[in-house]
Amino acid sequence: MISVAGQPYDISGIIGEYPARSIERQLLNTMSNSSGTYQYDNLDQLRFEVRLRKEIVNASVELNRSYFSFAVFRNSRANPEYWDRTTNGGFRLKRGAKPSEAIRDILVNGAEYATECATAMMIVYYIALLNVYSEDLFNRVFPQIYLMNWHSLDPLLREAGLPVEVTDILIGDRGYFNNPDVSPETPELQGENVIVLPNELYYGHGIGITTADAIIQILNNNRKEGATRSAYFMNTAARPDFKRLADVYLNRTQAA
Amino acid sequence: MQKDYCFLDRVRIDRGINKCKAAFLDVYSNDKWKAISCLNDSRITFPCLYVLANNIEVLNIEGFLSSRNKCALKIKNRIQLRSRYYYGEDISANDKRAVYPVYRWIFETGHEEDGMDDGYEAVMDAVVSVLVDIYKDNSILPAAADMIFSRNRKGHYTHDLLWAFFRSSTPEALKLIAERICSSNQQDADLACHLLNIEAPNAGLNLEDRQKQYQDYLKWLNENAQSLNFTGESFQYSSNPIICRVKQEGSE
Repeated sequence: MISVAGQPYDISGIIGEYPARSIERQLLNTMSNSSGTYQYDNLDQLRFEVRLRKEIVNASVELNRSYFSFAVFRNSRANPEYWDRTTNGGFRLKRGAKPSEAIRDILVNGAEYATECATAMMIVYYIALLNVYSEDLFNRVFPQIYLMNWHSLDPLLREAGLPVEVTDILIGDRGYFNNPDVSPETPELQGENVIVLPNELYYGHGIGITTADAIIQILNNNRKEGATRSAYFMNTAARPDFKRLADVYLNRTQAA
Repeated sequence: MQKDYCFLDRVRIDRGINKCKAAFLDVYSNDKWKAISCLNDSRITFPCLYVLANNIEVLNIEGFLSSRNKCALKIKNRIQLRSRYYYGEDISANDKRAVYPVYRWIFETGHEEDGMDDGYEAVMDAVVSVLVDIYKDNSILPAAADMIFSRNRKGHYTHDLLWAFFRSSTPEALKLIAERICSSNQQDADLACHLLNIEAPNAGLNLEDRQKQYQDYLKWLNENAQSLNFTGESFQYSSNPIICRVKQEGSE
């Protein structure tokens, strides 16, 4: 169920704001019918979350369409005009570079970028937030960006690196396919970070947009000899703190 | 006691990589077979073979190398050239008994020079992973722990090495990490605490307090060693991977 300001909330109050079969409607229905409780201080926080989740889906599709490619950290690369590549393979926003331009550049000049699946998830979040926040707000909230899987996350996005068991896997969640018997020489295939998309599809960087079965098959093809355990989708999800991100958005937007 | 290095290693260690390459090419230009004999000197180390790998390839003399050296270069090339969807032959599965000593040799002669370059570190990551996961050789864990903390101090990439290290799924691995809680280097202590999911000691904490924290952890570990469940979580999955959990009574 959904709870707003401590009271159960009937989604009929806002579901009409969204087109039939839209991502927002699917989300509201799943949350409303859930045995778990999704709590919000106010309705705007709920609206923000479904909007940001939709943008996470859109950002995944955009990134998948770009020429942004896969590489293990040791072979990672980024456009040096915007990013400094650190010794551990991460990307740090260059001094003087505009955060919004640097994030957009990943889509525009995708061929100059390559990294692994977890960092791609963080890039998805930044693109999505850039599509929701104004450019000015984005640049004020994220003046420094460091992209290196779940390492040294911005405090506002810290929860994106901390998967927890959840009642429902929602569209826009960050999920994980685990490959327990992976070949010891391919640590990058120990699992696949994914964004959950509509229609039972997933976006995994390097794999693309596909089904759970296809991802499991790819991971299973990279197991050690004598492997007995199949790759599987974990019943956990990592979610940025949507309420905190909403408050940043609502407070700054209203104050402006 | 000083180690008994071969000619090429001696040049490399005393005068550097470029001089080593030059010395090898110099010998080769005068006497190809003598140069090959230098490479096949039983005392040669993996780091030396690694830095000469390009020369060996360009001169097309792999076929004259000892079987150990040939296999070591094959392992190195496979690891470094792997692509996202690598379905190549699995040397470690082809002939486990024959290949194991080569992995051991790479590690034994190579771990102290970890950090030479990115490609070298990738090879060491994979070698640790194969030794621990395929051959269940946990004797390398103390040296692997040294590599982890050394890389961490230098800001080098550690996540694959940590993943390989914890695939040992043994309390011994946790003990080796816990020892660094007492390190006078704050980066060591911070990483150790992060990996063990315990509060990092304050930078100003004295050695006595750090040792108490270490002893407390050891006590916990000894009490729970038989009921630990290693989760397989890694930094690819989480910013705060839970390496192990205590199994609850009645659970698997």
